[in-house]
Amino acid sequence: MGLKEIHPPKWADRFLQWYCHPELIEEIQGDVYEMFYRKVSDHKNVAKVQFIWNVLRFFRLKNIKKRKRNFHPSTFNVSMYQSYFVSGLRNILRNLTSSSINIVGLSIALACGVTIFLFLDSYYHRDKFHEKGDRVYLMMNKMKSADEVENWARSPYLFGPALKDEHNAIESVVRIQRDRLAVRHGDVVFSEPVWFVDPEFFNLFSYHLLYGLPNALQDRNSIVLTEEMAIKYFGRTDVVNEELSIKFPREQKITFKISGVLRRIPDQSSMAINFLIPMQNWEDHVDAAQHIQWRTWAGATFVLLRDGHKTSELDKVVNKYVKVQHEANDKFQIQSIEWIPIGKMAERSYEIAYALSWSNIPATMVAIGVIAIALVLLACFNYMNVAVASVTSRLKEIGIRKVIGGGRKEIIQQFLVENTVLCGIALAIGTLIAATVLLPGFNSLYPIHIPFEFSSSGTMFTFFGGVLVIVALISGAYPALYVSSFTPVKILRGKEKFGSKSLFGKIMLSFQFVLSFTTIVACLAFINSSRHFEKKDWGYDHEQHIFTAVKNIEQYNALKDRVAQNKDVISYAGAESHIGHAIHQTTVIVKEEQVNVNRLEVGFNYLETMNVRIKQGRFFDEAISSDKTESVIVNEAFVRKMGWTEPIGESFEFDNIKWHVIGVAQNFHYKEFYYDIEPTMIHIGVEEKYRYLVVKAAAGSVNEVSDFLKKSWSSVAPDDPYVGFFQDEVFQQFFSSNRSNDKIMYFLSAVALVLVCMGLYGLVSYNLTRRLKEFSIRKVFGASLFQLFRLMNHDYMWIVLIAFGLGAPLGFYMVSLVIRAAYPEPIPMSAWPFVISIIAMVLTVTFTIGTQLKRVAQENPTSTLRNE
Amino acid sequence: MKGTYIGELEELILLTVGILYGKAYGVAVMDEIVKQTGRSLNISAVHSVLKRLEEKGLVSSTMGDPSAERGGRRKRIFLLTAAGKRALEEANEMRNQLFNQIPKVALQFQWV
Repeated sequence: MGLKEIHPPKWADRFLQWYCHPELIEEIQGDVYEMFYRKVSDHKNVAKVQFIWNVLRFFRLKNIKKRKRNFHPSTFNVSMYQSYFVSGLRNILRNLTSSSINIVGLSIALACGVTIFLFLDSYYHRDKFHEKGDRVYLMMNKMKSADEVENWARSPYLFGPALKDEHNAIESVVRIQRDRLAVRHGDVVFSEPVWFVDPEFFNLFSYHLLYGLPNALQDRNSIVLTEEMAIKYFGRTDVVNEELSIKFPREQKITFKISGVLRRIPDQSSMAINFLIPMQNWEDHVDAAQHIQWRTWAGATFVLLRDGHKTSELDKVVNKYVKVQHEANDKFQIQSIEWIPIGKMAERSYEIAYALSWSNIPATMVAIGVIAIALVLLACFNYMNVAVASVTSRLKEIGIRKVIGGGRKEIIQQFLVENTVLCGIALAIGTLIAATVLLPGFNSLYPIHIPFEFSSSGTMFTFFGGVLVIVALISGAYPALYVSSFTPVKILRGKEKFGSKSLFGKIMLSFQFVLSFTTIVACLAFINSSRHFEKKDWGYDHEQHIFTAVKNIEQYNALKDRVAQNKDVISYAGAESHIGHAIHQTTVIVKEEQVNVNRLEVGFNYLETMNVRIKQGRFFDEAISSDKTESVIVNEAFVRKMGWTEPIGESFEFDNIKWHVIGVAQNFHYKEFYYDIEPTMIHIGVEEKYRYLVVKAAAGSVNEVSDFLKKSWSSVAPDDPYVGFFQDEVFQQFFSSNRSNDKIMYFLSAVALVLVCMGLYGLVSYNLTRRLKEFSIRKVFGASLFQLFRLMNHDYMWIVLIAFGLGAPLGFYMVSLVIRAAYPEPIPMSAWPFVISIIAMVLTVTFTIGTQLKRVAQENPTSTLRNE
Repeated sequence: MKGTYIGELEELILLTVGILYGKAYGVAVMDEIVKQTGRSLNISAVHSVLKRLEEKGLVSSTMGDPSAERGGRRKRIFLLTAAGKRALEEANEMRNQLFNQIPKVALQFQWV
């Protein structure tokens, strides 16, 4: 009898029953059972294995039961969908609170998603608009350096033309040299980025001319400029045949005739173009002294291949000229050449030195994409919670639908259609938010410009269609499946137990809380650090200071004489190098040891004008003759590095002169705060080499002094642009990028808070619905609203606390890693990111639960309890 | 001719069904083949061949009595039909006919 106790593996038997055709099940099951029992007395396990094997072998097409495709073939028609659509809309309107919360949450997340997608889309489709793009290649040189290979966009100036002469696969070659030159029209002078290009430029690149002909660069004195530049200089765009003069490094002034005006450079172009002039000018005016040879570099070389030719055909000729290059240049030698299609140039520029465009490392782009997907997914899960909760009010509807003949399939369909309607609305709103708020905001914060357009209409349709389907499915599948599984009898008798414990929901919520704590603390800690920099002492005064760059001593003296007469100027000084703008590096010898230091060559009164603080010793004194030749002031970092205890009187060797330390300056920031303060020496420079005039204006008159300097400059040097800055502005890029980041951080924290708030709302209303009777009974027995509130809060405050314990340190840790990687000195971290985030979260939670509890407060207990 | 063609395994199982007159069902057929020829088949293969033979009209089937060793399930008992019998005869006849045409000398193997 004991044998009968042993049964075949249950799962295999169930599997057989599941798949097997009902007409065949008896004989098949009978046979496998018979074989099993025959064997089981000898070998229990062999019998089991054999049973499983046989079940699997019976899993054949002929034995598998045919599923019924259409239970009610008549219900599939368009009018049903129409009805779903209408009832979906009605339902959205009826539960306006919960559906608007859903829509808002989803649309914020989708707006972020759309923005990020547009960014990635435009990022990966740069330079794809060139009509001959499939035949245009950038010549990228892999350069041998000490022990690694460096990619250069620069290539030997003669390489391109040599290739073209030798190989007929090349249709044309265009080289580009970039420079910054003073461009003048009448009184308007600016220092502008000017590109010298070969005349074939417009043959390779599809930049369209608003005025002028494509052969605009044939004549050597012609110049092509963009619409924006035309407006900047002339105030209008039809400026063909107007003249511009450009000053070249050796002071030659050449007049150019405008032969073409470029239409606005499209956002998809990774190359930023302002002025184009023929390459001949570079050979004549810039490099004339050093005659062109194989050592000369071109900023970039592009080739256009003839139709049907491949870059691999060039290998032989390339190798020949690589050898020529090796002979000419023993310092920088080309190892090999890679031809980069123009469409791939932009996204690879992160690994190319001297690149014409910019890119992030791919990991960053992946991270950005992951963030977008995570945001949308979070919103979807929130949606799910709210959707399941809001279904309670529709249980009867579902019951009735089922009773009058709606199958499970129909209910699922109905809910999915309603869901798609809602997601469609959210997607539309999200796109609107992206177009009107996020993209303009982002574009105003960062130097890059993301257009509100897709790379192709195909991409657009795939994106919107895909997002709609995926979001609707993820957020709607669970509620639809869950709701449709109820049995009508139970619903209509009011016996359907609505979910026992929403453990899944709670786990999701905890996860969200952790995520948002991480985000918020990270963002706040980041903001904290940038606040720290805003307030940080620079080590000198910068509020009232202006400095002007000069080209030579004549300009300096002329300007100085005018400045000296202005009564708003408190003090002024000249300098060769200037704190925050240009500082040189050099090597000094201290006790036969070489030390790398920064070197600041200044005039008398420079340190006093800038108010660099002297810790020990004294400033330079014009009356002491040795101060001009052998006295030096060092900074604290210098003293610390040398380990001097008594720095005054110490000496070191530099430029074969023995320098004596007469003073120690407090450390000051000469570069952006990313950089550590290195040992620095300050000494008096040669007056003839002065390149800066530094002016300290009286309080409140900085702008007047700046205007005065500008006005004086146009009479001192009319051909040179005025290059003057407020000292306040020297780290402007640093601060403004910090401020931009701060804004993004605030935004991210807000999104994190809003999303988690929505998730909470969904779960609370779900649980509240479940416990409505319980609360009503409590109310009947005299529970106060506050007691109910505490009861409700209890569950969630634990989640918040645990999430805080996990998320906050994680966020803090992540940000301190970033900060430690970016900044040399530790930043004092305050506790306020933690305090603010926990307070914000507790307030959010309390508020969310409070609004929900209003339902309980307003409801008459009898109405809840009576309906049984 | 083409329609009544039966494969080697089909012929074997058809023969076995004939041998086990009145007692031919999946496991019994499988066991009989092992006993007679030493060929071990998987039960699912036997089932699919039997089903195919039934579709071709060479065997017919009825449900038998429930038995304890099958957990109270009934057997499907297969019987030869007239068409089945004829198919076997034809196959046998054709084989003999062909065999008889082999010249005597080809069958006389001797050690040389």
